[in-house]
Amino acid sequence: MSNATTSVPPPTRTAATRNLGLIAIVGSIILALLGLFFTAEDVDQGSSVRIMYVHVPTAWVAYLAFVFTAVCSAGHLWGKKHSLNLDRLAGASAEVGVIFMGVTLVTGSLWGRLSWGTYWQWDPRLTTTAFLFVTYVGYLAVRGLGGTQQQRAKRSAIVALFAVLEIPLVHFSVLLWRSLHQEATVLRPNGDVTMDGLMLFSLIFGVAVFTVIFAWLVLHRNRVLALVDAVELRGIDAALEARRAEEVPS
Amino acid sequence: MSTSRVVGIARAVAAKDLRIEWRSRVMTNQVLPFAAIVMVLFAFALDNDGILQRVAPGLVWMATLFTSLVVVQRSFAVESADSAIDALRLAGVPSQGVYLGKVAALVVQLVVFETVLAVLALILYRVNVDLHGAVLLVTTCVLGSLGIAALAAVYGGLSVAGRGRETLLPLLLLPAVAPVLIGATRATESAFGSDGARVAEGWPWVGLLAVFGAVFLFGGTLGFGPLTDE
Amino acid sequence: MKHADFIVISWVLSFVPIALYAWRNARRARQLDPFVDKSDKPWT
Repeated sequence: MSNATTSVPPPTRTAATRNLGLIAIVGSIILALLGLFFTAEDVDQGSSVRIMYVHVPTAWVAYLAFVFTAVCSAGHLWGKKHSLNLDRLAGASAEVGVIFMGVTLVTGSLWGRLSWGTYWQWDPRLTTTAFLFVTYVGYLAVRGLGGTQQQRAKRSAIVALFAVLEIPLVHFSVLLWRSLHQEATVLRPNGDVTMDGLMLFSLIFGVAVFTVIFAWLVLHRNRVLALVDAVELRGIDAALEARRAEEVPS
Repeated sequence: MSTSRVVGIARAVAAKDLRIEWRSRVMTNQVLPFAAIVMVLFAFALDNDGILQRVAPGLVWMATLFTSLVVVQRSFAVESADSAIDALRLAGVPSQGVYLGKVAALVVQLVVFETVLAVLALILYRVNVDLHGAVLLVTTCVLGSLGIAALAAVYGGLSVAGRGRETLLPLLLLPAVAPVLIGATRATESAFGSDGARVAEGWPWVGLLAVFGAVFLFGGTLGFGPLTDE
Repeated sequence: MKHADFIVISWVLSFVPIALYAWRNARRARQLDPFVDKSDKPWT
């Protein structure tokens, strides 16, 4: 079995994903060259701005992933066919979103250590991000509850919509909460910097590259989930066949 | 399916839940003592009278949240024994009625809790409340309980029955309830006068709690049926 | 730890989890492949 794996193409690859993957790899290399070497250091932040070229894209992708999960969930619930493929897309997107959300929190924390001197601040953006991370870990746990595939799909879709509903509520309440403490933003610069042309381009280029990576990962994961579901259905069919075979009249 | 039928179902479910609680005395014999112990343990852990007085609002609402987990688990465990909730659905009972009834019963139980916790805070943490503060406090408790109950009934229905599900309730409910926690503690700080907060400053937070309660109640009414449909 | 260390760690953390996740997915797909046939793979 292990000999075959190196020469046979992966079962989930198509021409589209192969091309996406190539774009992702080439784009990442270009981004690294831009972010780590060719761009200048920031006037205020110094070299720590180089973290932004990965932190901002992963944050963007994480939020994109969760919105995509919500859209697919809505599509599953209100679509006529109650498509299981939409449910699997929602699940794949949430998994990728959780990964990127975790990375965003860590890289943001590292950047914060360099810029603010602390690993954490209770500002609305960071706090909402941390909250979302836990919320979507919960969503993934709900996906693992068992039952039929349609049950899983309906259940997960509703939880996903509740989770998306929470985003503005949490952000707003944290915003009101922190405004009580009137932290001086002068003393604590946030991630927004005035950037020159190449820096801004690199940032946007990073967002584009990571969006391609997101699409590539979700496509592959969606197909793996389809295989998992197919195997489960075949197993059920086989069990039903065996049961019927037992009922042969004597 | 008419509104009056839904309301009738809700009232019946709420009455049933509260009657079960009253007869079994689990609330009074087990859960209230648990809440009292938690308040005492906070004093052991924080070991500072001034700090206790300042953080009393937060302690009251954290204790409420943890207790609500127990209360909700129980509220739905009662249904899954003998598959009572499946029988209700098969009989064509509208799920909105069941949901609203559950929420109403939970609100009553939570308000009772919070009253006891607030009294304990007055005694143990030496908090002072005047009449205006008391009005604010009662309103906060009712609306905060509404927000918690509306969410807890949704996730509670999901987390009952089946292995490994009980631990799902805290993971789902506690993050979702965070906005309510923020609003309720800020309002309670104003009611207790913690850290110089004035009662008038608490009312905007109460307004926020009302919004959260309404939003969660609306979402829950829609989502409870499909979510617990198994 | 110097600035440069933080930057390197950030960049490594931004790509390594992606690679790991992709690799694990590919492995899972190969594990499942013998148990399905072509009709289960509408993308091929």
